[in-house]
Amino acid sequence: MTRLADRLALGLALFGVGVLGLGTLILMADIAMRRSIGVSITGIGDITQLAQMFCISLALPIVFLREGNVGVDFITDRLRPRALAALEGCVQLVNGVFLAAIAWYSLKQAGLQIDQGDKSQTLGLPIAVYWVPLLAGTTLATLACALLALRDFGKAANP
Amino acid sequence: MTGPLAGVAGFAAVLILIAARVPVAVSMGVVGTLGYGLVNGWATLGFVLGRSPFESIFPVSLSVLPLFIMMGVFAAHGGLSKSLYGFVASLIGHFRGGLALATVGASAIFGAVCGSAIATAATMGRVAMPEMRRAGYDDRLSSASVAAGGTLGVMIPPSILFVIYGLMTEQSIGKLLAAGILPGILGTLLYMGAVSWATARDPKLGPAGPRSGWAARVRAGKDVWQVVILFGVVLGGMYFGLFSPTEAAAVGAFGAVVLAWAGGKLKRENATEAVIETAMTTGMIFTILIGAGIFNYFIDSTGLTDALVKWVGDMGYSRWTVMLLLMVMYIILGALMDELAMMLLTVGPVFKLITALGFDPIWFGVMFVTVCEIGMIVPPVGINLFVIQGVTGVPLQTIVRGITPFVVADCFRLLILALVPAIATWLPGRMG
Repeated sequence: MTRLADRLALGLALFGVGVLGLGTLILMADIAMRRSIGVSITGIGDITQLAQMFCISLALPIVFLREGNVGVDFITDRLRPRALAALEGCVQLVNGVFLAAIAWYSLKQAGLQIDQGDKSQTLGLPIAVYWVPLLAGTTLATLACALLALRDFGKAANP
Repeated sequence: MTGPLAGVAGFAAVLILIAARVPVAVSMGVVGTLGYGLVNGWATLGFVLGRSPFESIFPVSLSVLPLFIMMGVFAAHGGLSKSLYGFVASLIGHFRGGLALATVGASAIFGAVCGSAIATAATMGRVAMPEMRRAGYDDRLSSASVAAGGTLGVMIPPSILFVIYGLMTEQSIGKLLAAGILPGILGTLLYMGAVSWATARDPKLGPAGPRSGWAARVRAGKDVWQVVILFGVVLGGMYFGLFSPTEAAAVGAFGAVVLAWAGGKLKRENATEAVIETAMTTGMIFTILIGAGIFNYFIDSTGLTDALVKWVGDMGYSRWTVMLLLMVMYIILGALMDELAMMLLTVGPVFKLITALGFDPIWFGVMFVTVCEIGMIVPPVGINLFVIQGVTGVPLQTIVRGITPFVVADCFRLLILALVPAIATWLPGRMG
């Protein structure tokens, strides 16, 4: 189960960085065109913003699944293995609840903006396009934390 | 509990959660959420949780960060670090402690294409440690020189810490990056001084090696032009107003990928690793930004910042006493927590204070990044110490025993920057 989740998270992260790479190429083309023939690609800011939203948001599941967040371990490292596993399970629960709250309230906020017909500044892309990666990223990161909490509580119960 | 006291309690709660293994980002986010709810009423909470994460990653100015991260990661995977080390070692490796001097020098040059201290330390650790061990260097000097040299990556532009400081305080990112050049060179020279001092006291720490001939030096330098061009285009483009920071970062990322690919170093497995590292670092940094965004909503609502400025003003201390106290506080805090988190947690209130006291915000940015560098090599949570332990297998105690001369060099740099602020402000002052 964890391996499947890791492959899914990895695929999403690769896709996100791929979108950023594509955005970089478009930005390079814009710089080259502006410098050579004085013509700019319309909505380059919107495109860059979209690329960064995909890269950042779709990286969230793998960061949480592979426990890549910055933290301080040395204070609790001396706990007994069982207590440590239980503590880590609780930490994953806190992470999961926090991410779930973000996903839930972001969904409500996105709905509000979509209802108002918000669009991107230059290209007029529906704002939903920018919200989708964040919603997907936070929701999947929530599931990743739930999976890790199950693993850690399992370790605590059967060391 | 309301008002500034609630803000202070919030800071304490964040530290308690961090101590209990909760990630820094989540600690700030959870305390920010609950604190905001308690102070402003639960009905407004949906707005903060719904808006803040989006606002933390949506501004187009933030695209600089993933692009500079990509540049550094691909430069490392493309083998630029190895070429650099070989070249600098061929020039000064024959001196006593020469390979440690080369490690510091190569770290500084590699820092010019990589904005992360962790990435610089990890990359140089893999390249330099085996060479120094082969040459009979003591692990104390070799591991400490890699750990300290790695911190130059956050001072010499492009620097992720400067970018985030600029975004948080609305200072020009271009000027901040330019401000890091001379203090970065100063730091490199002082670290080299620390190596020379340590080997003068105990020559067994770093015995002199054989001298390379000029032919060997030219051969070793044949790939260094790549770093020079990449750094020149990115920084020069920004300095002379040819590129915006986002464009410069895009050019740097594109250049690093092309150079790695053209050098034949970007095979499928290596490329995938580089992409994963880019995603992991980006995700980790932005998770902290999201948490800090929510926490800052809470802190703003408590009025802590204004109260702090007023309180310090009422104390009647001179502005230099306040600066000294701030630096001491940051060195202690930096020894206990991650530098990025420390910046996001404290820069809001402290920035208001230092500008109210009349300090130059660009100069303070350089001072702040210097204390962050100290925090990265001071136990118990100096992140570079752990990175070098992980990469080289040298016990933590051994690295810590060798780090003292470098910490002293950093403190000396802080003093020089305080006495001669122009080292930080001269270059940005000449920008348009």
